[in-house]
Amino acid sequence: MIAQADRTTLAEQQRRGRFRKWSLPSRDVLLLLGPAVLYLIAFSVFPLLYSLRISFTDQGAAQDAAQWIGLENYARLLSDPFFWNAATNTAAMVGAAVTIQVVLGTALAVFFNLNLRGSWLVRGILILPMLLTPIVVGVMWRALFNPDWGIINWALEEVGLDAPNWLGSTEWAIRTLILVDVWQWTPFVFLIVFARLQALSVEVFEAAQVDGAGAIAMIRRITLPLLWPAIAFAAIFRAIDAFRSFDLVYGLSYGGPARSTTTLSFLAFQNGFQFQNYGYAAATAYVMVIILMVATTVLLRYVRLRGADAA
Amino acid sequence: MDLDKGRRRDAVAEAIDAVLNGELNRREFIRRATVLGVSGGVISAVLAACSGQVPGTAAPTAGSAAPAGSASAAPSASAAGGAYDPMKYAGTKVGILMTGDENDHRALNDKLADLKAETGIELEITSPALGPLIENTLQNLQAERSSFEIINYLGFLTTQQVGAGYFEPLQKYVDDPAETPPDWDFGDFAESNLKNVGLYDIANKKLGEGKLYGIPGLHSGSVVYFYREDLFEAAGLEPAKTWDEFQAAAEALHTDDVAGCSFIGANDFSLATVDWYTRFITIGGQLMSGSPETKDYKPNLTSPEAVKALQMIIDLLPFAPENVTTYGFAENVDAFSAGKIAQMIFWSTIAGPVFNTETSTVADKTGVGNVPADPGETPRAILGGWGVGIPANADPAKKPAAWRVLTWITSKEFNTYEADKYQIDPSRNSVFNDPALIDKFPYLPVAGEANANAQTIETSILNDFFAMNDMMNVEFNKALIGEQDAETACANVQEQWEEVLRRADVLA
Amino acid sequence: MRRLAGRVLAYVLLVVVAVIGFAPFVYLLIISTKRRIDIVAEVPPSLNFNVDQIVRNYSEVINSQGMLSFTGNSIIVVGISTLVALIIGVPAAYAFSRLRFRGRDAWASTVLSFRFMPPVAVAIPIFLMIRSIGFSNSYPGLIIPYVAFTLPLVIWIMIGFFDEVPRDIDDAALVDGCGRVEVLWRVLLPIVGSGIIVSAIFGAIFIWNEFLVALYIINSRSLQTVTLGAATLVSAQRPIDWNIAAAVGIVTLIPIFLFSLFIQRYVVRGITAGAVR
Repeated sequence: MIAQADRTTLAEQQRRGRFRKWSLPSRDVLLLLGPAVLYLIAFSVFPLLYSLRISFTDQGAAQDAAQWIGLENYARLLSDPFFWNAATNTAAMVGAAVTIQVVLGTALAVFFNLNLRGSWLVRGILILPMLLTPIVVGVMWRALFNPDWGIINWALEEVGLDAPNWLGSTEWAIRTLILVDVWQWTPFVFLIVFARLQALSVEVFEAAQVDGAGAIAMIRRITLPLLWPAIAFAAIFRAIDAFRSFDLVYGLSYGGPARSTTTLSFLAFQNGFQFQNYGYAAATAYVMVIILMVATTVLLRYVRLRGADAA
Repeated sequence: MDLDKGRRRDAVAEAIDAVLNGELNRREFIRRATVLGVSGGVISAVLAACSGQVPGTAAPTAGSAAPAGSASAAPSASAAGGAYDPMKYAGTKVGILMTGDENDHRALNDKLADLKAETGIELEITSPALGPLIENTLQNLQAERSSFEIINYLGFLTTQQVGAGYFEPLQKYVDDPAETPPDWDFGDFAESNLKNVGLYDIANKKLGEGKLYGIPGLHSGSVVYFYREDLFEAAGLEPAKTWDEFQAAAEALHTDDVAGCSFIGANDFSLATVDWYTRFITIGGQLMSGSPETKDYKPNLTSPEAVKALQMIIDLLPFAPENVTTYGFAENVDAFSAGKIAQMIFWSTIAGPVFNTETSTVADKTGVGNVPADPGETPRAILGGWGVGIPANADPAKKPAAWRVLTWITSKEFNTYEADKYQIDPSRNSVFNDPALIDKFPYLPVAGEANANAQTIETSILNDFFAMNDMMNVEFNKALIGEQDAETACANVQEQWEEVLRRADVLA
Repeated sequence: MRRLAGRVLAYVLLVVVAVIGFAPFVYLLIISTKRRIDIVAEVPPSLNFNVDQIVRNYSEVINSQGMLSFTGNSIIVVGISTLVALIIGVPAAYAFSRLRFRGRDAWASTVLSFRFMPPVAVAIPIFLMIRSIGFSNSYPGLIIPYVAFTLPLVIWIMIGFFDEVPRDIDDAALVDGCGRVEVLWRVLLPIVGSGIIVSAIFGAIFIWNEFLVALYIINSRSLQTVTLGAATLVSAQRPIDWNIAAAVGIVTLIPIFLFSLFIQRYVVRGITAGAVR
C-alpha cells in the first residue's frame, strides 16, 4: 500500500517536471550543452566509430595498409572457442558475482539498519575496497592467496582445513575472482540499499509490529518490496560493471590458468594490445559495445525512473 | 693526434703489418691503433685475422669480418673520415625509445649526465612497458619521420621490425673511425646476439644473415641451471648434466621442506619458452620444418620429442613444490631464494637477486651451470635479449649523433655498469668474463656461455609469436594441472598453431 | 536473556564484517614493513617490527621508486581533468535537467551510456588520436581522454542534484530578468555545492585509478602516474619485491583512506547516485 503511494507521488513529480513548458531560445541549449556534446563527439563518439572501422579490417602490427575484410572478424568470432570461453566466463562473473553481492548487500543493509553502536565506523571501512586502485587490489589478494606463504592458506591449515588451489586451478580461479569481486563490490549494493532503508519511515515498521508480524515476515512482506527499486538499481549497475570487468582480472589472475578467468574485456585486451591483432580485438570489443548499448538503453530508462527514488 | 692524413694512414698500415707479423703484441697494437683513430671493429678484425681467435671474444661474424677482414681494408676505412672526436656532435639532442619493463632505463637514466659530459649530446629517454613500446615503435617506424633517433627492440621482434626494412644499415658507421670510438669493440659482442638482433637479410627474409641493422643491447640473456651446492654435496650427487640426472636428483633431494626441483608451471610466457623449449631442443627436437616462403612452415608438435619434453615436466610434478602449477617467474624466484627448491633451470637474469644476501637465504649455497642436455646435444636454451638500432626514417642530420649515443650505451663501460649495479645480463663477452665482476657475481661466465650457445626460437620470425606462445602455455599448463595428457596438449597446440600459420599465409 | 544474546550475536557479526573488510589492508600493511625474504620465509609474518626496515622500504618507495613524483603527476592530472570535466559537465547537466529541447531524453541517455563503455574498445583509437595531435607522453595527453571519461559521470550525478532543486527557484530568478547562464552561476551553483563535491570526488577517484589509457599515453618515468608506477613493480617477467609492492599499495591507499573517513557522507551520496566507476 505504502509503496504504491510512494511511487505515485514520485511519478507525479516527475511528470510535472517533464511536461512543464519552457519557451526557451536554443541559444541557451547551445551555450550550456554545446561544449559537453562537442567534447564527447570528439573524444568518445569518434574513437568508438574509429574502433568500428578497425573491426572491419585485418589491421595488425606490421601491416602498413590494413585490408578491408568486411564482417570476417565477426564471423571468425562466432567460431572461435576462445571467444565463447570468454563469453561463458563473463556470464559467470555477471551471474554469480552480482547474485551474491545483491543477497549479501541486502542482508548487510537490513543488519546495519539495527543501528548498532560503532556501525558508522564499519560502514567507513566497507567503503574502502570500492575506491581502491585495481592494481593494488590484485597485488593484495595475490599475497593473501599465495599458496606458499599467504596468510589465508596458513589460517585454513591452522584450523585443519585443506586450502583450495585459489588461483592455480581452472575450477577455483574463476571462483576466486568472483570472491574478490564480491569482497570489493558487495559494499556498493549494501550502501544503496541501506540508504533507501534509512529513508523509509519508521511508522511503516511500527504499524506492522502492532499488527503482530514476526521479524522474518516483516522483512519478507514489507521491507523487501519497499527496497526492490533500490536493489534493482544496484544490481543493474553491478551487472554492467561486471560485464566489463578487466582491471581485476589483469591484477589478480591475468586471465589464467588455461583461460579460465579470461573475460571478454581481457580477451580483447590480449588480442589487441598483447598480440597486435587490432582488427580482431576491435571486433571482440564491439560485440561488447553492442550488448552494452542495448542493455543500457533498455535498463537506463528503468534506472532513471526508479533510481531517483532509491537515492 | 695532429698527424696529417697521409702519415696517419702509413702509421696504421705499419702497425697492422707489425701485428700481423707478430712484432707487436695485442695490447700495444690496440693502444697505437686507438691513438691513430682506427675503429674498434677494425681493430678486432685485425686481431682476429692474426690470431684466429681473440681470447674472451667470439669469432667475428660475417657482418664484421667482411668489410674489414684484411689488413688492406683498414687504411681505406681510416681514411674515410677524420680522427675520432668525442665532442663532434655536442649540442645535439637525441631521443631513445626503449623498454621500461626492465632495469635498463634506470641504468641509462643514472648515466645521462656522464653521456652529456663526454659527448655533449643530450639524450631523452622514453621508456614505456612492452605493449605500448611495440605500439609506439611501429607507429614511429611507419611514420614519415621517426620522432626517435634510437629504438630498442625485443629480440623476438627483430623480424617484425628490422626485417621490414625500417632500420638503418650500420656497417658504414662501424667501419668509420671518425664515428666509432676506438675502444668500442665490435668483435666483443656474442655472435648469437648479433644473429638474433643485429643481422638480417631483407631480400631473402633471413634472420642472422646479411647486413648489420642493430647492435645487441642494452642487455641479453639466456637460461642457466641453478642448483643448491649444499644439498647436492650432502647427498653425494653431482649437478645434473643430463635430463635423466635431473630427474634422479629431483627424486633423491625431494623432502617435505625442499622440493627436488621446480619449473614454470603456471600459465606464463616462460613455461613454453624456458622449461619446455629447453628440454625439447636438448633432446633433439626441432620446432618448425619447412619455410615461410614455400608456405610449408609447419610445427612439429606432435613429434615424439615434443610430447616427451612436456611429459618430462609432468613427471617432475611429484618432486616439485606443491603449488608449482601456479608458479610463474616471481614465485620460483621467491621459493628458490627462500631455500625451498633444490634445482631448476631459469633465465640467468634472476642470478642477481638469488646471489644477493639481502634478498636470498641461499646466496652462498647456490651453484650455476649449463642446462642439462641429452648425451651428444649441446646444452643450450632460448635466447632472450634486445637490440638497438637507428630508424631509417630518423632525422638524417641526427643519425651520426645517434650512432655516437648508440656506441656509448653499448660500450663496455656502460655494459659493466649495468651488470654491476642492476645485475642486468651484459651483451658483451668481455663483461661476462670481467674478473672484477666475476668476483662479485660468480655466475657471470656461465651466463655468458649460455648466452653464446643460446638459440633463437624459430617462431619469433612470425608476427603471431606472442599469441602462439600464449596458446602453448595455456595447453601445457592444462596438462600440468591434470586436465589433459601431454599428447593431447601437444596435438591441441599443433592444431591451433596450424590455424594461425594458415591465416598468416605461411602454411598452405 | 534472549534479547541480550541476540545483541551480543549482532555485535559479533559486526566485528566479523569489519574484519573481513579491513583485514586485507592490515596484512598489506604488515608485509610492507618486512624484508622481502622474510615475507616468503616467515609464515605467518611475525609482529616484531624493525623500524630500520620500515624506513628502508618506505624511503625506497618514496625516493628510489619515484613515488613522490608519481603522486605529483597524479595530483596534477586528477586536479585539472576533474576541474575541466566540471566546467563542461555542470552546465550540460543543468541543461538536461531544466531545458526542453528536441531529443533531450535520447541525448541524455546517449551521454550516460558512455559511462558504461568498455575502455578496451576506445583505448587504441584514443592513443592514436592523442599521438596525432602531438600530445602523447604529456599531461594534456592524459587530461584530454580523462575529461571524456569523467564527463558522463559528472553529468549523470549532477542531473540528479539539479532535479532535486525546485524549479520555482529558477523561475523566480528568470522573472527577475536573469539569463539562464546567470541563473546557473549565481543562484543554482551554491545550492548544488554538495553535488559538485560528490562529482569531483568520483571523477577524481576514477582518474586516480585509471590504468589502461595511461599505460599507452605515458612513456617516460618522470610523467608516470601512481597506478602506472605501481603496475611496473609487479610485471610478470620479473621477481616481485612484495615488500615494496605492499608499501606502494599502502602509499596509494592513504589518500583514499582519508577520503573515505572524512567525506563518508559525500561518498555514500555519490554511490547512491550511481557514481562509482
